[in-house]
Amino acid sequence: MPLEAQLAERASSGDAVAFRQIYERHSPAVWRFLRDLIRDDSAAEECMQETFVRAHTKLSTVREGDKLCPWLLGIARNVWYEHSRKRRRMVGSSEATLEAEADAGPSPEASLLGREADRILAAALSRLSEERRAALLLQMDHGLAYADIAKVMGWSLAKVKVEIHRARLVLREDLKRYLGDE
Amino acid sequence: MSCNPDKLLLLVRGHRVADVEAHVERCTTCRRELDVLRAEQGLFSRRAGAAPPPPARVWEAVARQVAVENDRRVRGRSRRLFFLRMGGLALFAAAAVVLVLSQRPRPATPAPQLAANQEQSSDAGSMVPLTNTSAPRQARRHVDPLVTLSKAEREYKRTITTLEAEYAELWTGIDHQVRDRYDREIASMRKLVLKTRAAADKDIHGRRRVLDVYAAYVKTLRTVLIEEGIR
Repeated sequence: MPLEAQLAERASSGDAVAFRQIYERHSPAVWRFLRDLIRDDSAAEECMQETFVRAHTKLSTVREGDKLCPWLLGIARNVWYEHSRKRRRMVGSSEATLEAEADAGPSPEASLLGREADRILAAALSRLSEERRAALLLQMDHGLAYADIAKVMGWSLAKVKVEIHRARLVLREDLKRYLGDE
Repeated sequence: MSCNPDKLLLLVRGHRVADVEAHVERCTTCRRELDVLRAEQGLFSRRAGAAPPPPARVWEAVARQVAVENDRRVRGRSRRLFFLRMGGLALFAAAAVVLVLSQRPRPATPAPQLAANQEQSSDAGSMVPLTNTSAPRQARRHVDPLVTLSKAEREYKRTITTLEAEYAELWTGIDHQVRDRYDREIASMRKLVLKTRAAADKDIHGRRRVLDVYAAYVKTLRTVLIEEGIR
């Protein structure tokens, strides 16, 4: 049995150390994913907490051969989706929110880094719709294959390819100088 | 091999794919695309490397909540065990009711022999013993079987309400596909109970069938709870 499935089995039967190991191993990626999507640290913390609590209750559904990272990112995606639906209901129409997100500009993290390319990358990412951004990040940041991205996002393989292609076009337009693509 | 940007990503991620590498050697478009993809990947990797880890308080909150959840699960498990035993007892009690009712002699109207004896004894004015001496006592003890059946039915209903409440409590934590299957099984059992009950009305045999269906429903609920709760 692969190590990840063993860990999941132990954690699901109440082994706190195994669950802690899963958290240590995968929390940086899940945290990065949620922060990139939500762009609000306190909301991302809430979603992160909910993701791992939910994961703990569902660990018994992990099957041999399942990779934990895409599985956790899938849960995080659902939590984020519920969070953004709730937020949209509170804010008003979804269009207003999307516009606000598009204008949000680079995250404070990128500004602090002070690297122009990072800043521009962050700005380019913020111009993408949330779902398209999620798909691109799953590929480029988390190294997921198309099939895994399709599972995480609940999309068809064709839709994943189209969305990532479109996201990449936007990104390349903004990052021409840094990608040597002029 | 023809140009395929998706396969170029494999090279970007450090995989060795001979036919892709050979193609890139020959194709300037793909070589150029590979360079751009590598540059893009470099930007993302640097960004990921610079990202801060999650704050420690997130783990603390997760651990606290998981501990509460575990505790609730353990308490729920012992409560479920109690209700499962109760479900078993209800099944046993109802089976006993059905057994008693099915072996009970047909009551009330005196047998022709008994009637003849009674006539004869009153004619003779003597104390001739009756053929069936216990008959009057049985008639006094006679209880309407419908009442007994209704009692058993009430017991079943109470058990079912409790088991359904247990299932409702577990529901959100059950995997979607499994949950759908349980929901379908439970819905079909409920439908069967209602249908059999409506058809039975006051017919004793029909009411016994209703008890059988109740028993099957309790068994279904117990199986679901055992599968989900007592892992």
